[in-house]
Amino acid sequence: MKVLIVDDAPTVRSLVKTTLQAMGIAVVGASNGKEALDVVKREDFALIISDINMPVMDGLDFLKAFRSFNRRTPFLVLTTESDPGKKEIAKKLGATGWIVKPFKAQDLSSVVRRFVR
Amino acid sequence: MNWQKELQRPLKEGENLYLIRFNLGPEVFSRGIRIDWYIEDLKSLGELILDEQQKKLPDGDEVADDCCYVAEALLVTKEAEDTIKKLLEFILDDGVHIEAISARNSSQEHLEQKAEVEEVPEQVLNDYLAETAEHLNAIENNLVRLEQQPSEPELLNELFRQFHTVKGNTGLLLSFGPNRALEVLKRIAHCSETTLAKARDGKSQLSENEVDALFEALDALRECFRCFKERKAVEDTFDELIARLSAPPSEEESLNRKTRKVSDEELKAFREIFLQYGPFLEELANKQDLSPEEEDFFKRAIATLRNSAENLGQKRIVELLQAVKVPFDLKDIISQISRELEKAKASEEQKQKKIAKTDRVQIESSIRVTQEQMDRLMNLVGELTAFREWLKWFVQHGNETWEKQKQFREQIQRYSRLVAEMQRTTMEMRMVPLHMLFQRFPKVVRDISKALGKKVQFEIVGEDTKIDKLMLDRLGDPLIHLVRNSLDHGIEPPEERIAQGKPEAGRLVLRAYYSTEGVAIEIEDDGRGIDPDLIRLKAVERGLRSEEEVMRLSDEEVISLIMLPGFSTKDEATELSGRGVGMDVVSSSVEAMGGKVKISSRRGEGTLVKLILPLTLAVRKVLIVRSGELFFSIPIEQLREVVNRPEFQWVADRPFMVHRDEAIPVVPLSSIFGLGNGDVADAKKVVLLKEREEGILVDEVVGLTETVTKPMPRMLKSVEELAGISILGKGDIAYQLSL
Repeated sequence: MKVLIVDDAPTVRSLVKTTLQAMGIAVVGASNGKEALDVVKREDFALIISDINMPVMDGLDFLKAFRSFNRRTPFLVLTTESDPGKKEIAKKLGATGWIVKPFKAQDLSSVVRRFVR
Repeated sequence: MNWQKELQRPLKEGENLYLIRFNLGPEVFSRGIRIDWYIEDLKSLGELILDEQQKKLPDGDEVADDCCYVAEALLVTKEAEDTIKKLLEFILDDGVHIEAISARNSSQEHLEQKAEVEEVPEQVLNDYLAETAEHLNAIENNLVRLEQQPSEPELLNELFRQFHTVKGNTGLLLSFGPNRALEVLKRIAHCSETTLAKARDGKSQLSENEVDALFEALDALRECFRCFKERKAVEDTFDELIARLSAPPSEEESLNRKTRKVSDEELKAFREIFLQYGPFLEELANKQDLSPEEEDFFKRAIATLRNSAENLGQKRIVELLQAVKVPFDLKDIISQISRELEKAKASEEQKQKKIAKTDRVQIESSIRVTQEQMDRLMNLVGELTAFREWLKWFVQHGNETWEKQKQFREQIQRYSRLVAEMQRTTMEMRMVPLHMLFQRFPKVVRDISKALGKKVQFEIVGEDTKIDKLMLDRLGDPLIHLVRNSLDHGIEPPEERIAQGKPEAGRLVLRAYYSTEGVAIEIEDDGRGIDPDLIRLKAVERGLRSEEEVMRLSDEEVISLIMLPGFSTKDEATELSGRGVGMDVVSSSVEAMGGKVKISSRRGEGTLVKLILPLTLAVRKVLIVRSGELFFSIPIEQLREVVNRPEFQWVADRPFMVHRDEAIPVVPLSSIFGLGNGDVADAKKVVLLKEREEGILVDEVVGLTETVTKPMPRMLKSVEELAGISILGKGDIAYQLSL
């Protein structure tokens, strides 16, 4: 059981890591879409959580690329905007769901629990 | 699902009953959604009764086009609706519908000023509008019956359910956001329901006044419904009505009410008395000292007025008059009484109108049909059409005598007429005015242009144009994209426009009309237009085209490059227009409907995006051609010309056709699909298409026919040149070309 967290902010990565590790889930981190794409080509994950705005390759491009070869792994995007447009775009590109930042550890774990079984 | 039957026990204290409908397609499953998990999660909330009607879940990573999950679930839980919604959040807009059948009304009903329901999924909204209109009509019919038999339990129950459903559906819509008209509507429905519940449970009989109040409630519901539909504010809060519905009238009050039923004549009489006394009273009110006669007149006048007001049940007037001790008090009261009288008059007139209306007995005859039923019917009509083609073919190729053939042909003609008529009617049923879609846009445009700080004059033209319902549903997103693009990239900020000598406010037109090719929808702006050189630059930069290629393309061709996947010219994608997923999504979804997108633009003058859509998705007129052993169909809209026995010339090993003094390159249809080279010399006919320079060589032109196009089977999905398949008369398969 492994989860990939993609975010350029180390704080977010570590928040996710500590929360999920407390649930007994292993977490791998990546700081942008390109890095993440390399990782997912090598390893399997039960769930991917990715930020949208990131340098080098952003979350939507990563999602698009990922969905071109994997349509079954749940993929959650982290959005800061309450802008439904972003969610819609992410959904069109194949996002399973979204977590709105800022989120509490509790929100995160309850969503993750539904996708990692 | 019949929940009353399914759930064979009464709800316990604190339990709620929800009906959850799933209608999920492949697009949901290719997002990594596991429906089994959702069902498990729902089970953890309480008792779940599940009726799975269709379940084709993805097989491993394969998400097939027919993946779907159609089911109804009854959930008995102590949780609130919000909890369920939160749980289903990621798929809620994708075909999940939650209906609270019996949920405790815990939330305080409050009225929000002027807020509007936004972002309600269109399907939900349309369903709501249709269903509620239907319920309101049914309520009217039942209320009329109720007047005759006010304690008929069956009738009371039915009415109760109808009000309840209206309330429930309204609540559902309100979950998308506050809306005043709907809040009021829900409140009235709720109070009517309460009134009916008392009578239904045998606690009390409905009084005549209560039935009257229910009639008034119906009018009020209609008014709120109309306001919501037309996005207007409701003017009345119907507080008096609500108070009357929810609080049972006291003994005294009900007596009062009884007398309230006054004839128009009586009311008129009172008005006359009042008008008679009025001027005198007014005069007295302005006087300081009264003579004894005046005093006497004053007292008598007030008493008379009060008595007649009492007789007429004008309670408010009686109260007012009781407060009058000296003439001076009359000052304010005279005008108030006049107002009360006006009110009474108005309500009387309304009653009259209502009576007149019911006299006319207008029955709005419409029934609701699901999309699925509609599609099935259309498919059947398609099959009938195919069968007609087969019959024709059979008669031509059979061994029947000529006499028999003639008889057959006559019968087939009759059959054809019937099928054609049926097809036309079915097609008409599918057509809905674009208004249903366009009505959202004024607000969308306002919101976006406000966010962007731009001034825009928005115009909608031709919203009566009708279009296949299925297409209407799929057009929403592309159109919003296009409008956003125009507002964001096209129309300049006010300062820039002024500097260029343009009017400060940009112009944006959303236009629809019937054209020879089908239904056209245009989005036109007078903004900065598209710079073809910039597109050239970007196309090369993004590796979409080589430098030589882009130089060779005309400006017009270059502009259409923005529809390639992954193209976005604004260096930083702005928040509103998104990021490069725009135009390619628009063009691919329009093409998926059998339509196409044309863009024309002049630098500095504006851009016109034109979507051309087939009239209907279901039946298309096509030309059937044969190449080798395979049949192909070409939609008639794409066809330019068919050339018989062409003359060929060879230039540098390439065949050309000389046609009307033009040398047109030709290519055998078979070689497009790599089915062999196809000897050019053997080819009999050349088909010229509107969108393709090369002529297509075919072995035979079979003829024009109407077919129902079905999507390509999965194995052939990757063949870009084929758009779908259809079954021909004698059972052959024709592949629909999309060249």
